Amino acid sequence: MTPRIHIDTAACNGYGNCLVAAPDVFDLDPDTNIAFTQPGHPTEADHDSLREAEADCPVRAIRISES
Amino acid sequence: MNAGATTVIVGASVAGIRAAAALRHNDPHRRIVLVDGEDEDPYDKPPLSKAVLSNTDLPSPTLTDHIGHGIDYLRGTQAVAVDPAASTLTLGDGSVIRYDSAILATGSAPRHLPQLAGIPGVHYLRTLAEATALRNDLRRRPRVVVIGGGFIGSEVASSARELGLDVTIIEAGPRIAARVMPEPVSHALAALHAQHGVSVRCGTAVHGASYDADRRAVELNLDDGDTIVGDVVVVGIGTTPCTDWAADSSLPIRDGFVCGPDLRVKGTSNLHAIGDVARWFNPRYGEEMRVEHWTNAREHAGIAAHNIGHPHSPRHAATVPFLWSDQHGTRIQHVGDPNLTAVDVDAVHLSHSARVFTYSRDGITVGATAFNAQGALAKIRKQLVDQRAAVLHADHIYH
Repeated sequence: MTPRIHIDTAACNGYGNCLVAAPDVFDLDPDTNIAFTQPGHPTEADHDSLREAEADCPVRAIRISES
Repeated sequence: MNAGATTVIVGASVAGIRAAAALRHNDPHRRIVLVDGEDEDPYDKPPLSKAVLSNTDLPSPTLTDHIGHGIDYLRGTQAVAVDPAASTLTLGDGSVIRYDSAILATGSAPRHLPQLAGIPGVHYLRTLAEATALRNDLRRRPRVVVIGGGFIGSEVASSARELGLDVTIIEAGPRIAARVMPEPVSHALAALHAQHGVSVRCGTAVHGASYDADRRAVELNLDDGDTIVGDVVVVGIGTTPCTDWAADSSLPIRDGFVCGPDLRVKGTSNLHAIGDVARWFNPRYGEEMRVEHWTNAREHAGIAAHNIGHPHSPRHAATVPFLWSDQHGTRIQHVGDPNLTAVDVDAVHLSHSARVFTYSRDGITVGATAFNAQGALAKIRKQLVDQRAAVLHADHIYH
């Protein structure tokens, strides 16, 4: 199963906790301060760090689902 | 592996809630008991000094989506004693829970100003109930006096200005945010207040107060001889860790429960302290610290949960302190070394409203504060977190 990442860009407030939890997956746009996922697909190995990123978001802007 | 083992968590704010969720994620069979003295559904605290005050339409900042999953949540239940030798927790009603492991996450509480004891109209801010009471008083559209120019005080001041109120901050120290920020940042924060019509008075303390029942106002007497009148007074002069309930135990308490790098309370094998209440040895900095911020509580929770499940391969809490604050529409973020004395400060304006203060010691970046520059701060934070070599080195020294 590949995790799917949904970022609620309206809720995102640029805390940056996600890119500390999962630095290979998330980054912040330097102009808008909004989180985005870096190109490439997250793998199974990223699963725990993705869950960390989801839990670490102070405004719950990240949802991880399995597809 | 630990089927049927009981973990009890004291405190259901972000640290306790996240620890419960992580424990459940790691082990579907563990019995998890979460105890909290407040009779509320669990909620998140950062909004209490911000949106909860200025936006009355907002629902309560709940944390309930993290509970469930077979977690026994005992709300309105005070923990009154812990016995580490017997591995028991005693509750306010006299009942006793035997635990295999426990997590102390009782947080911190506002320090009170004895000069204001018993005076109506004086608020402290820690709980949702207190935030709601303050919000109701602010709706009388009064004059607001905030005592203490730290982040909580500044956020309350900002929220009150958003409501169009007349706001003054009284700070006993020479500048606001002096405890956590270098001087240029204090000046920038003061300038932000000035731009938005908050009056800031530094270098004077409150030495007495009286209540005028007819005018429903508090008269504050200041050290400099002045008197200032507020309809609402909010005190934000720092916090103390909530350890009193465990004072009779044999646990080491020194401005927090004293813990090793794995967050285990010293002298115990199955007790962890996390979040505001933990004074732990942070191997990254090679020193004991106590950090009162959301991200620290959150990180501690995951580490303690892991260590309870893996006592022979514990993780160390080598966290890089990180905090944020919202004041007058400006997002302020701060990362890094909690000890900011003797640092060089480099200020860079990225745009009209965005700027970054970077701190270095011997040419090495140790921290930064950003105003409306989350992307730039995130890069510095990532760089600080990645300084693994320093972490391993400090670990080695500790053992």
